[in-house]
Amino acid sequence: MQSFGVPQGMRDILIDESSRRTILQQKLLNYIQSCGFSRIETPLFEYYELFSGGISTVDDESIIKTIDRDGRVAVLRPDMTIPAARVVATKLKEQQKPLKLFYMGNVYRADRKDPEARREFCQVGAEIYGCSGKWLDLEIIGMAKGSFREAGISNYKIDIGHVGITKGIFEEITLPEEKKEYIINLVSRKNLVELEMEVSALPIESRYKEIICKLPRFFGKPEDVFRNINEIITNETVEKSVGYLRDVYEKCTDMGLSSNLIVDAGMTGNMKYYTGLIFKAYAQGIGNAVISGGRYDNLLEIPGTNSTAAGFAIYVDSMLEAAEENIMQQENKLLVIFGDTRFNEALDYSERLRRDGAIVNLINTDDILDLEQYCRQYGYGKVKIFAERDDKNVEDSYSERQSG
Amino acid sequence: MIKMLKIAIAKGRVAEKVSELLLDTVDYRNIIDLSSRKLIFTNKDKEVVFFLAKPSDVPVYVGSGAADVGIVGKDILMEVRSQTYEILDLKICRCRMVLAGPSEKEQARPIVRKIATKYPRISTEYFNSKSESVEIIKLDGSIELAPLMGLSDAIVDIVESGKTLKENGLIVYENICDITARMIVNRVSYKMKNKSINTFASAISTSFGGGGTNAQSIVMG
Repeated sequence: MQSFGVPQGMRDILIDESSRRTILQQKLLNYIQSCGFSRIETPLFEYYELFSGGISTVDDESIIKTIDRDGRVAVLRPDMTIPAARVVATKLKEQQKPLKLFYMGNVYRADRKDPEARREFCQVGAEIYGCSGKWLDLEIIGMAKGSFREAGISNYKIDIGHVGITKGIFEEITLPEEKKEYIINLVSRKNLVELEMEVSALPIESRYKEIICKLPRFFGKPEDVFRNINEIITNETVEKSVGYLRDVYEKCTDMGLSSNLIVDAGMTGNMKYYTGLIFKAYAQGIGNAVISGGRYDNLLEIPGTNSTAAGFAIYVDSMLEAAEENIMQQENKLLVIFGDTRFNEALDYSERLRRDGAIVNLINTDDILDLEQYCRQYGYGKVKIFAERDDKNVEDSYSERQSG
Repeated sequence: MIKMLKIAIAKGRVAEKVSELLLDTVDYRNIIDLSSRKLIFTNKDKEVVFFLAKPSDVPVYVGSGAADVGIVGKDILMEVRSQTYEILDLKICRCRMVLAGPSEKEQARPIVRKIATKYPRISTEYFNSKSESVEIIKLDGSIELAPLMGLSDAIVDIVESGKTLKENGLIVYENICDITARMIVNRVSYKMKNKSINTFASAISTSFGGGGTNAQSIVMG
């Protein structure tokens, strides 16, 4: 027989995982909606040009491309922020700002460095356009905190940085653009070994060499980082960015986030995209960031937004993994079995319970071969039987059993 | 388990050297016992778990977060790309990645077309960087055999002393790069378990001397 697989990096999400995932998604969507955000949905395919020119946080080679019938290149969207910005810049351009949008959807990335890796990611995210100053940043950090609370995750860290720090440091340094990009990439990948080797050979002042090598290690508890931060302040851009970051940190502390906060002065992110504060959030025991976000003013030059924009995206599967025990299947699940003559009675009973919020699965007695196994596989804790009236062997019964 | 620092070490030469280095540390001595057949060595007091893995699996464990820290040769890191931070050069297990082949009298390096190697990715990138067109043949061991048996013109492999090459009548044509053992860390662990990672990095890097600059400058968190 032919075997049916799925393409590289894709996977099916089955019964149990899918239902827990749905519960988490609902919680996150409800929470973001309760913050006054409006939902948008954009297509899975977008034109390639939208993501080209280096503005995407996903590198060009990782984008999955297809060719449309008219010969244009359409891609599976590698992120949701740029499509959302496209909508804001076009169809919602007359809308009064501030504009707060949220979305849920899959994004696709085929990491060229790791061909075996997963390529399909579900994201729930929110974007704010046209708010002033740092309130924008504080609102998304506050919502990241709220999202962890909704998922029942208490052991998490929010790691904040500012792209202006690295940008400012490299402003002072005269190097070919390509070389700069390469060095900044080593800083952001925290490849301390290669960085030290590369930097030691650069024709720049030793003061800068020291600072660049220090940068990837310049993270930790906010108090510690800010105590020593003067060591890396080389010009006004850096100083301003540091000041901004410190201000955000202080306001986060007021929001009750202090023990969950890490400051990373060497965090960079895509410089063509991010323009200010950036952050990532981690959960204990999960090897990837669960949330990432930041400030991306002037992306696609969105009209009438004060040109400010910020947002964040939650990687639903990473968050689900972190929330493992906290996201339970609904417990109120009942299996109703009916004999042929008692369908209406059983249906009335089921509908009544469904209206009260229970999950009720109605099945004819002839269709169930092994009741025990069925309950185990689908997690039914309770069974109600409407037996055939002339069947002397089976009586009406209601039983509660161990589910799972 | 979740609070423990999980350290993956590449089996073989790297594991031997690392366990020697650890003998000179205060906190991590006598945890690993290579003479036993065990793969996992736990010390609850020091909150550390060492485990031995196949070298090419080390970046996989660290990339996924199943291990917080990994110690493995640079050759593996170049071949098996992973999204990890490379934070320390341990300067042990030093060797070279080379292009080698049969010795010819007239020219130092004949034109090569077929390359046998355990490292297809490194080989491909090397010849791409030189704009040479070659065919890469992936083998799993005893690479020296390939040119002798006529499977390839040359090989890309790591050499330490060059003894094996010499015994098989092969010479080094070109050096590709130097290789040492590196310490890699998971990106999230580096933030979440920064303190214990730095403690371990400082311990192991002062014990071989000359690593003081690294240990000193890891001060944050």
